[in-house]
Amino acid sequence: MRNIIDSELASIVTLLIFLAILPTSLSTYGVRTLSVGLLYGLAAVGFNILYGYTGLISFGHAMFFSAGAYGLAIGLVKMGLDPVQSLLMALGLTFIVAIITGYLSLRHTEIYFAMLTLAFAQLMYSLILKLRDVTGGDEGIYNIPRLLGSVESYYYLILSIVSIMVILAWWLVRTPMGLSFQTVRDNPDRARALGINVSRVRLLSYVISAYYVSLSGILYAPLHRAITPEIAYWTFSALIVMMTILGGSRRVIGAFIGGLIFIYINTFATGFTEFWQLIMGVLLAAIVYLAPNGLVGFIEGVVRRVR
Amino acid sequence: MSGKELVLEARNLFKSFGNVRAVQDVSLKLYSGEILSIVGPNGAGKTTLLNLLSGVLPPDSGEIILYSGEGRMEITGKPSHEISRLGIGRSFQIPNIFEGLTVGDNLRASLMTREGMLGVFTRRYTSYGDVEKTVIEVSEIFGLGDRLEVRASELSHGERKKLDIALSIIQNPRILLMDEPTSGLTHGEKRDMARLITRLRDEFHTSFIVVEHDLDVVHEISDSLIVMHEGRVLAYDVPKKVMRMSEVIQAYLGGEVK
Repeated sequence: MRNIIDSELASIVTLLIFLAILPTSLSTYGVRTLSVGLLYGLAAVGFNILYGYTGLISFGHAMFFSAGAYGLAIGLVKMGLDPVQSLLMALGLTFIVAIITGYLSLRHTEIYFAMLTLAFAQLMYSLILKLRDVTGGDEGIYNIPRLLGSVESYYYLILSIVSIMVILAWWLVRTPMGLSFQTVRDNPDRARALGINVSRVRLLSYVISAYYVSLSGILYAPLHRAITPEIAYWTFSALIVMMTILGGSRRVIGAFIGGLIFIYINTFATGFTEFWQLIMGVLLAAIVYLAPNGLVGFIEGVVRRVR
Repeated sequence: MSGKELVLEARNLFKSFGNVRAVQDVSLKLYSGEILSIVGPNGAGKTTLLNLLSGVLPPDSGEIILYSGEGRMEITGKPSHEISRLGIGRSFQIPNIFEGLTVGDNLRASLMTREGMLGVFTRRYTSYGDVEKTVIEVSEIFGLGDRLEVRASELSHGERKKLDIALSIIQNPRILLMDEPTSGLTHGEKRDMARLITRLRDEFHTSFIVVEHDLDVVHEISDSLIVMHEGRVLAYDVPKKVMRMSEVIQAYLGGEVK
């Protein structure tokens, strides 16, 4: 057990070091793509705290991504606040969205929970479309200032925050709190019989998960410098689910790698054919059939067999 | 039982599901360090009774009272996680464990989550060594000492039963409610389980209410015995006396109870 834990942390740290060196050999465009990869990885890690570790599948996590991105962009552009104030606004908005939708959705589990999160996310999407004065409606918000001068230096800001958050997630799932998430995932009735307050554990996991995804959105807005309602649409929620399953939901690093490589598969598939969803679909189906624990689970299996 | 301290009392419990009267007017008293067994044919209401006592189901009427150093506390209708925190543990007929976690993490989770959701910041976590010590100690009592790294889904049926009970025992409950601890076990494993239960009583001073089918096990471990039939208590005494009662024999042989 101890050495498996260490090997996961070692893999995470190795990967992060690699990601710190990689930009030296990339163009600005390449660094920007990699930045998005990091943010998708962060979102997937957050989603996976709820999905992989607490056993609840949400189809509405785009609402947290957009709460973060819009919260920050509205503060910076529409209200002329400074970055710290805008950040606090984004975090506050995320809290409100997470607590309300969490409280209401977590009365149910499984598909009913998934449908409720989807419904709330679509509600948020339509609010973003309708509240034109605040959100810019379907045009979104433009001219978001990049917080550090160049794409390259902003990349290292993202990498620092993502590194902290991913290692924090690795640690979190091993704390008593993280173990209580997993007991609720595996057997809520037994968890209750052992004195665990199952509904409170689920809400806590939901809110933590929401903040990870929100942070990803917060960092995304200044990178892209423009945001549109697309990031609140349900297909983006589905992409977060896909990234996580692609990489593997059994481990923190699985979700992270899933998000990280997703942007490249996406870019490749889009360049290859206009039916890029087809490639995505086939790939995902193949993963589910051949490697149900995702790419990372598959690699682990191979390594174990070789040994 | 004289001189022993009362720990749990149920008074006139009733529970119906539609027209089915699962538990009718059941009263019992449990003393510290006592093993109270409940036997009866299928559908006699034994598991429902455990569900009432552990808060999984609320009774239609009646009272459940817990006695402790702090005095008398009515726990009727409290949710199961609160009852568990008050020191009433539960094990299940079908092993009820956390399949995705290793044996060690099953035990750690059970031990540490008692400290509350924010257990990250509590004493138990900072004294992680104590948790590990307890996990090893308890796993060895249950013969799971060399299985700590194994995922629970890979255990044998007997090991799963043991882990289920260990999950409750590691919390050091004052009272443990066990639902058929020997079902599905081989003859040898049943003997081991019976020995384990008396050993747990002796070492942890836990009181037990055990629902059990195997009458040899019941004879071996019980201080007192309740026979249930169609939701009612048919007999309640020391095992020797109960087993000689003619209505008990009739109920077990399928005869009509008058």
